[in-house]
This record gives sequence, structure tokens and C-alpha cells, in this order.
Amino acid sequence: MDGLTEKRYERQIQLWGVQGQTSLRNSKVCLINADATGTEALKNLILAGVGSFTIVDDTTVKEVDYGNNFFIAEGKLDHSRAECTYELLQELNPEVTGNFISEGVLTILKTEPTFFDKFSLVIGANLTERILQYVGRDLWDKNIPLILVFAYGMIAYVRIVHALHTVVQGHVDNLPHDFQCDAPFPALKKLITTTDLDSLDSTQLRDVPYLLIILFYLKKWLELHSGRPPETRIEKDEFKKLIQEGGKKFSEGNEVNFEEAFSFAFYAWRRSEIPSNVLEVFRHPCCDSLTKKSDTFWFLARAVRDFTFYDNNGRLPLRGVLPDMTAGTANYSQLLLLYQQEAVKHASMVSARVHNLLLRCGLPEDYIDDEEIKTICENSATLKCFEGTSLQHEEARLDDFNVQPAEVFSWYFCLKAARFFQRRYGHSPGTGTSNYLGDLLTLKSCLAEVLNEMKSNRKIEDEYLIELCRFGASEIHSVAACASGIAAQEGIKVLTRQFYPLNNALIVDTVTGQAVSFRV
Amino acid sequence: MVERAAQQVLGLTLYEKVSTCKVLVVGAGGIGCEILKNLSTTGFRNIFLVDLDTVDVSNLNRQFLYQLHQVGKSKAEAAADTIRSFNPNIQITGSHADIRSFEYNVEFFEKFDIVFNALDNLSARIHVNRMCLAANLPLIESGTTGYLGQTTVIKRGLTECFECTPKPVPKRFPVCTIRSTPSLPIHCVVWARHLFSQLFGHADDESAVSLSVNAQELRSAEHDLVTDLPKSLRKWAVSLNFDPYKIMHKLFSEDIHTLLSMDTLWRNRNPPQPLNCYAHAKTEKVQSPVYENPHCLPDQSVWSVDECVDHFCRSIKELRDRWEGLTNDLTELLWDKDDSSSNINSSSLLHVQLHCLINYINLLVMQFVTAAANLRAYAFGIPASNLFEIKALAGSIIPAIATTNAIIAGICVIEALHILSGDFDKCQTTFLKTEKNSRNRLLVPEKLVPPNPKCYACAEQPEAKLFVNLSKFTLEDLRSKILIGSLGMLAPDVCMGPKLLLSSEEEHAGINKAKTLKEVGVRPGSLLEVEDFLQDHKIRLFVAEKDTFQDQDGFELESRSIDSEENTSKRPSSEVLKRDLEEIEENLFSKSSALIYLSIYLKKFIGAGFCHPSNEYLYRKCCKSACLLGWRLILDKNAQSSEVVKEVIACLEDTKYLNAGTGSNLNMSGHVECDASIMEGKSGAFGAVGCLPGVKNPICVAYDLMLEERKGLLNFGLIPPMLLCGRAAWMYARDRGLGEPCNEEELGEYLVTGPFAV
Repeated sequence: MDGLTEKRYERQIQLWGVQGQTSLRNSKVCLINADATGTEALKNLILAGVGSFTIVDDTTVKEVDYGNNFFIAEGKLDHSRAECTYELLQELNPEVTGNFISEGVLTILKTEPTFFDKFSLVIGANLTERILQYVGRDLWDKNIPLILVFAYGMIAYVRIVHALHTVVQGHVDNLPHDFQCDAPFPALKKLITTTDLDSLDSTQLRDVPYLLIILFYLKKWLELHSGRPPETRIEKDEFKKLIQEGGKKFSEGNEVNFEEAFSFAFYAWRRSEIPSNVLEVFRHPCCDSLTKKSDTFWFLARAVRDFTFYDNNGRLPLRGVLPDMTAGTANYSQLLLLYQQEAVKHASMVSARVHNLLLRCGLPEDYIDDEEIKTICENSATLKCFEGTSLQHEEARLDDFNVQPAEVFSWYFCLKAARFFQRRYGHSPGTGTSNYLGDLLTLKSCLAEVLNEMKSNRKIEDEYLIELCRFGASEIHSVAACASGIAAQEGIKVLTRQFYPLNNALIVDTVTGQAVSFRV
Repeated sequence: MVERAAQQVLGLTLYEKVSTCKVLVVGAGGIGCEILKNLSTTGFRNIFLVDLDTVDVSNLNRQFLYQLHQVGKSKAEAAADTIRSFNPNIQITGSHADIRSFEYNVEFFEKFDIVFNALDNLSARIHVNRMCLAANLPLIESGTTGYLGQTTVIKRGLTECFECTPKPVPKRFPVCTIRSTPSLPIHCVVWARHLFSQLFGHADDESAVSLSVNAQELRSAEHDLVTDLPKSLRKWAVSLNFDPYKIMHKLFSEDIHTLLSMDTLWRNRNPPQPLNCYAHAKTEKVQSPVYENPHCLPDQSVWSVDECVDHFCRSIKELRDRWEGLTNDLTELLWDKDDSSSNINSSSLLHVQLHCLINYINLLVMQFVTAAANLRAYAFGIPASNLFEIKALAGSIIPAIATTNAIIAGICVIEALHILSGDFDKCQTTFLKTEKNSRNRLLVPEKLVPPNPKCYACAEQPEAKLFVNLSKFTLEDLRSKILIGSLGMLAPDVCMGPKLLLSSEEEHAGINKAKTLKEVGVRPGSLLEVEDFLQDHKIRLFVAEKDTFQDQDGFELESRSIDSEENTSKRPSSEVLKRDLEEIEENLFSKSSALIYLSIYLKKFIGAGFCHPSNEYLYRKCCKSACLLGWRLILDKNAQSSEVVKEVIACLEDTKYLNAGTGSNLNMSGHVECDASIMEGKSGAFGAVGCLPGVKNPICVAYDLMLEERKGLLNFGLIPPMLLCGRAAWMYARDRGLGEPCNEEELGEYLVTGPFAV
């Protein structure tokens, strides 16, 4: 990445780092249907700097496209829509290469069943039910993420279909610090035993970081209580008191570092546990059945798991970062250095395990580079895997639905009914006759069928269906832009494997200004 | 060209309105580009765009109307060109100008139907807000940071305006920390930025230093902040022809030695180490640094002392050349304004010229600041930072991505459709959050809040009380600190009776801004009429003396035009309260958490039951008085926390506006029955009452039960009751005279549901 590229992306590197940007650059995105919704989603991904894009669309430019699709230039009526939008979209970012195919996706798949294999993400905009089912199944079997986005009048729907998605960097806010007070590593233990706060004068005492204060008094406590950390509330209060009294050396009240130690005292009895999301990853069958074809994530996860249980007594690799503490620079950096060194040691042990696993599967050592190993060690507490739901299985889980507010959720069924209607009658509800209400009754029976099929006894008022007919499957640009923004954002999360993506569907109701996510 | 889709969904009437209405878009940045695109594809035909900025490379990741070859060009013009080329039927004018300039007066604003704010800085936002209030136009305000975003609609008299809620004040640092005892990288960055202003900027011009962190701070101490060569630092540097080594020697060696000689400073701190910059001098010039680590980008690597010295030398020389190359009129360089909350007062034309230049030399400035900040950091044993981090610390990069802007801009235009169709009640504030933090909701709507009657900007007749030391506070202080700094005016005129004290015109005979308020005849109780003709904004200032303010830096501003019957002078303003709270926290550390929880808890309490938005001020009032009561109890009486909680709840129960105690909602049979419970964390004691009729303060009964429990077991080892219900609870209360119980006739008489003030 050169200086200009870095400058171009500096505002987003702040969010997902250089690694995230690199993952984006290595990705290939396919868009099916270059309508307003589709091009907006693709626009956002191109701006973000994906590696390449392919537009698949067999339609020609219609008058309606002029109205709502920003990426169709003047005088292109009856030209290939894929080509027109490709031309303008690829101007957005010279670092992204693009191409287009003016053929239907089903035709392509018929002649080239492996067509999708090269893509890292497929976006489907306003797909019809027929294409949806076909493409959905194909991508599901290949575990390629598919993001569907529908803009339907004032309502939009986003759905992620991905058999198994794994996240390395969850970027979880307020993750507890990784001090490992309950079982200090040897170097830290040595530091604790050589530390004697009681022998320090008040000036020196001021420079001690709170973590060391906690560790010191914990040592004292353990000596007094035969190695048992504070457990009951009373004991915990006693422990805190110990710290408080230690700070009383200062004539005029407690110093900031002792106050910090007092308020963070809970780290003394906090056990370093493996979060449930990480355990889920560890227990996943993919972790056990590594093959040549396994995703790099599973090599890394397996190595971390083995390290955790065989080398590190059931603890995840140390992160090696400390929060800011009020302390003397020397004391603080000494402590930080200990944690960093230990973290480096852990990373190298994990690295050895990764290499070993790769070797066993007949892969070269540099198949996974050290930077990735470092990242996974630093973020091991936020590892997570998401098991998706295929389009065919949406029905089975419907009883679990308990989405608030319910009225937003009714749109989910209505949109499904609209697609059902379209498949059966060949046109969208509201567009069949001159009066848009002409389709209302048929749509109502479609909805009844959909609800019946999904075994739902939800009552949905006619107003929804009337609105649906009035929308006439039209794309309002602002609604499309809003939904595509969300879809592209989820796309970036999926491609970078950072942040937890939507799990796994979302309705945007722009009339009430709400967007609610749920799991189907 | 047919927008059938839009026509059918919007309806023909609305569609007509959309194609004829005139729209003003202020700002053509990330959100601005998206809004323009959405407008043009929704059928809007008349757009006027104003933006002061030029295209920068770092804009291209989201501002898709620009391309690499347009870098350096006016954003407004480039965006207008792009939109026109996409859709030639649109009348779009792009104006490369500052929206705060005088040509964009109220008459100009009145030509439009809707205004979109897609701005990145506070002062322009405040200005557009006032212009829209003056012209009575609906304003759609929006903003994003990283993954988060927000839009809202502002309409005079109907909703809160932009200034109805106070905006967060940029973080400040104590002067001595910056000058003598830095301990964090940010301290060094602030120092380095000020050094830059002193060397190349206009040291007296606030625009030179006011870009974010601590403008006021720096101004007040500008003479001695960087070095003890007051003000003449630049002259001194010029006399040396900006010899980098001499400058470095002075800053990082001599000055550090001076600081070291003040040993009181270092008694409890690690003393700094003077740097010998000559020792780091390079004989040959390094062409461009080699980056061995492929994962480390140029901006991401941390410079060593040698590299800092090298960069310092190079950037200072180039900056000097630029600076000397400027014409006589432009004797200062400015900070890059990009996306930081700037406050530029220079005339717009000058600024436009400068701004083009700035984009060009921006990198040099950043290098200079990074080098200087890091050298200082090395001297003080503070971790050095890379260019990227320094940019973030200096407030000139805020994360910004295309997707967030797309979502927010989509909503903005939908709000515009609501306004045009006359459904103003459908407009709302929308927050874009991370779904995890808002229970599966990505977009969270909130009802628009009615205007704050105390607002300086949109109240019918805004008034404020000003506390200053009259014999120290000068007219210039009044202008810069109060009127421009705190009240957000641009060009204020001040009258006291018939006498003109301050004029917005530059040279007005007979006005000496250096005079103190006392000297120009302002007395305690004087009434100053302040008016900004550009903003069409008036405010009345009542002056009061407060000589506890030692100098001209001290002032206090208190809103006055408030809910009529309240005597406000007794009630401290929120700032005072905040300060009180801070004091309390300092004095009583152990209880500070209780205080904070108190405030949070009260908010929750108020939130129970039905809350009409129009009653918000009443709720706030109740909340505040209850908080005050709580703090007083803690402060003056040193009361127990459980007692404080009881008293505070009782206070809330007594107000008829809240669904507790007096004012409770009726039950199905039309009576009032209250519940209350209280628990003490320390002892675990608990007391509660349920379905209690005829008692004014149920919490007092619960509290009493808790106290009883704390006393221990009753005779024969019986456990005292913890929960009493209904009549039994009432009898218990009556027997003990708790919570003002009434006799049976009164039962249900005075505890009627309070009226909802609408």
C-alpha cells in the first residue's frame, strides 16, 4: 500500500486497520442486478476499496432506471444495464478493477457451474424468488457469503445468507482487561515477589501503577488466607480496605494510583475465563477436522485452542496490552514490558502450533503469515463463529420469532408474500392493473399461503398489503441508498472478518424510521 | 424522463412539490455528496450548494462525486458539475464560499424551502441553525462518526433547535501541563501545534490556534505557553533565519534545563532529559526512509529521535520558504481545517485562498507537528506517536466511511419528503447505532423534542445573566469570550440604553475594546442589548458583579428566560451545579459514586409510566430539585446513602407530574395504590410495601421496614416483616405515623392523579 492509497483510505483505516483494508483489497465482489439498490451497495464497496467487482445483469436500461439509478448516464436507453453501470462505477476508484456480464445469472450458472467460486462476496439486489432460491442454494453449498437487499417502496429488507462465518477481530467495547491476576505468569510472579510496597516512601509509592498495587496486596492476602483469594462480599470489602489502608501513607488523603487500585480491586478475584463465544469456536467440528482445504481461520483457532489447553493451563493467549494507569513512567513501562514479552512468547508458541498443523496437512509454513497469528492472539477473546440459516430453512425457526416492535416485523411476511405473488403471477403486486388495488385480494391469499407455509398464526392488517400494492415494487432512491448502505456495511464486516455482522436479517421501515434486526 | 416509481409511491401532489421546491445544501462532504445524489434521483430540481472546502485525497473513500484529478478543486463546483453531468435537467449551483459570509443573509435563506446541513464543524452548524430560525425554514441536520450517525429536523417553534441542548465543550488541558509538565502524548501535540502557530501562524488570531482542543486555554496563556521567549519567538526565529538546530537547541535543551531548575516541579515526577539535537544532526540527507516491515505504512511508523530531528529540519525549512513566499497580506499559515471544529473569522476570500494553499502544505505542517511533538515526548519520557496517531490526536482525522453516510443521507431525504408532504409530525430524530448496543435496532427513531424555553437561540426573547468582575472584564472579552465564544454570534452589536458599546463594523469611532466594562459605565444590574444583524438574532444580557473572579478569564453565564413562575436566581445554573458536583466528588470521594448513581437512577425513575414529551421540562425540573436535595443531604448533613435515597424518592413522590406517590396512575377500580421498596447494599436489609393506599410517601414506610429489619430479630427469634401489603401496610404506617397517612375518609381523596400539563 503506497502513500496515496493510505491517504485515500486513512479515515477508514482508523476503524478496521491496515489488515482490514488489505482483506478488502484481496476480495472479489459480484453484484447480481444493477438496479438502484444494487449499484448503491456496490458503490459503497468500491469506495471502501474492494479488489474487484463483477456486475451480472441481463436487462437493458429502461426509463425508470434514469429516475432512480444514479449510475446510468444520459442517452443509454436500451443499452446493457450491466455495461452502463459498470462504466460509471469503475470511475469511482481507480484502484478497483471491474467487469460486467450482460447475461442472466441462471444462464451463466448453467454453462459455468463454478462461476461463483472465485468470489468472496455476492450481493443480490431485488432478486426474484426463482433466482433467489437457485443462487442461494449454490452459494450456501460453497460457503460463499450472499447478502440480499430489497428496496420495496418505503420498506427495505437485508438478509445475510452465509453457512458459516468466522470473526477474528470482534472489536468488542469494554472488554475486561487481561491482567491474569488469578494466575500470574512466571515473570510477573517474580516481579510480585520482589515488590515490597511497605518499604517504599510516599514519593516512590506514588509512582506504582495500580495493577502492581493490587497484585502486591493480593500476595499479602493469599499469604494470610492460605492461598484463597477474596470470595465473599465481606472478604472482598476487607481486601479493598487493605488497599485503602496501604494508601493512607500519604498524609493528605489517597493518591490517584491507590484510588485506581481501590476501584479496580475486582481484578484481584476475577478469574480469567474463556468467553462462551470462544468456547463455541473451540467446540466447532471444523476445529477438529483440519484438512488442506480448511479455512485459515480454523488452523489459527485450533492452534489457539491447543495452546490454551496444552500449554497455558486453560487460558487464552495474553493480549499484551495494559490500559493507561497513573504511575511513574519507569514502573509502568516495566510492567507493560512484562506483559508484552509474555504475549510475544505466547504468540510464538501459537505460531509453532500453527506451523505444525499446516505441516501435518501438507501445507507450507508460510501459508499463514505471522501477522495473522499475532492478530488472532491479541483478539482471541473476541473470536466468534456464526452458523447461518439457508433460505430454504427460514420456515423451520419461525416459532422463535419475538421481534419488537412487532409492526416492523410484519413487513417481513408481507415482502415474502410479494415475492410469492411475483413468482406465481409474473408481475409484482400493484402493477398488474391500472388501479394498484386490483391485486389486493390475490396478494392477501398469497400472504395467507406464506403464513400457512411458515406455520405462523400472525395477524397482519390489510393496511400493510394496501401499502405494498401502492409501492408497486418501486425503488425509492433514498430508501434503496439507506438499505444498501447497511448491506454494504455488513459486506465489509464479512469481508474483513472484523466486527460481528448482522445475524441475520433486518427490516428497514423508513416511514417510522426504524431498522430492526432479527434471526430467521 | 419518467420517475414513475417515485410518482406512484410519493403521490402526484408530493411529486410536484418535490420537483418545484428549492433546496439549500450546506456542505459537500461525505453526507453532502450522498444527499445531493439522493436529491437528484428523487426528483428534486432546484439545488443550491455551498461549501468552502477543496477536494482532498482522503475524501475519496466516501465522497464519490469527486475523482483523483479533481483534488485541489472546489468541492462545491466539482460536485455541481458531476451532478449536472449525471442529470442535465437539474438546476444546481455550486458556490465555493463560507456559508457564514455576509452575502448569505436571511433574505438569501428565505428563497429556499428546505435546508440540509451536511457540515463538519460546530460554528457553521450554529450559524445555519440561527439563519434557519430567522428565516423560519425547516432544517435537516445530520452528522456521522465512524459507524454512528444521527439526523434530526429543526423547525422554529415546533422542535428543539440545534442550540437547545448544550454541546460538549472540547477537552481542555491545564496550561501548566502543556507548558511544563506534559505526561501524555496529547500534551505534546497541543504544545507542538501551538509552537507551529507561534512560528508561522498569527499568534493573536484565534483562527490560528482555535482548531479544536483548547483554543481559549491557549489564547489566555499564549505568551508563555511554548517557551519563555514571550511573543518574540517568531522574531527570534526570523533573526536566525529559522535555523532548525538553534531552534531545537532552545526548545529541547535550554528550555528543558530551565524547567529542570525549578526543582519543586520534579519532586514527585520524573524529570525530563534535555535532548542534544546537535548530536543527532545528519551529515547526509536521507532521500526517503526505507520501510523494512511491509506491514508498516509510512504514516504508521514511529520516528526515532534522529528521524524526528531530520523531519523537523526539513519541514521547518520548507515551511519557512512557503511563509516567506506569501504576500504581505498573508503573513500566516493556517491549520488544515479538514473536519475539525474550526472557528475561522477571517474574511472568506482570504480564507479560500489560504485554504487551497493549506491542502498543499498540510503534509508539511503535520510533519513539523509530529517531529516537534515527538522530540518533546522523548525529552519527557513520554511514548512517541506516529504521524497517523498524531493526526488523530490533533483532531484532524475522525473516522468516516461511505456506508454510514449513505444510510444517514437516505434518511435525511426521506425526512425532507415528510416535510414537503405536510406530515411534519412524521419527522423525527433518528440515531444510527450499532445493533448490539440498542437491542437489535440499527436505526432508532426518537420523537422530536419541543423547543427549550431557555435556549439562547430560539426562545421568544432570549435573556441571560452574566456574572463577571466588572473592573477586570473588558469589552473585547465580552465580544470574544461571551458573545462569540459562548453565544455563537458572528458580528455582534452591543447597546446599553442608547449608547453603543460594541459595533460589528471594524473601525467605529469612540469604541475602545480594551476598556473594562466598569470604565464604559456598565454597573451591576445594567441591561445590555446584544444583536447580530447577520443572524437576525437578539439577546438581552443582565450584568451582575462577581468579584470572586480574579481576572478577565472568569465569567459565568446563566439562562434567564425560563418557565415563568420559577424564581431562577436562586437556582444555580447547570454549570454551577456541575461544578458543585465536581467539588463534592473531590471532597467526598467515597460518596461520589452514590451521587453519580443518583443522577442516573433518577432518570430511570422519571422514565417510568407515561411521559408526555411536552412535559419534559417539568420532568427535568423535578429531577434537578430531587438531585439537589440529595446532594444537600450528603453535603450538609452527611446523611447515610439509604436515607438520601429515601428523601430523594419522597421528593419525587410529592410531585404530581410523576407516576409515583401523588400523581400516581389510577388502578382499574379508580383508586391509587402505591408500591415502594428499598434495599441497602451494605447490610442487605430490605423493606417493601405493595398496593398501599392512602399514604403520601410509601417509600417512607418501606424505609422504616428496612430499618426495623436492620435492628435484627424480634422477640422469640421472629423475623420482622419485610413486605407489607394493602391495608396491613396502611395500618402499619398509621400506627407509626409514617409517610403522612390519612384517615379512612381521606383515603383516596387527595391522592388523585395529577393533571398532565400540556
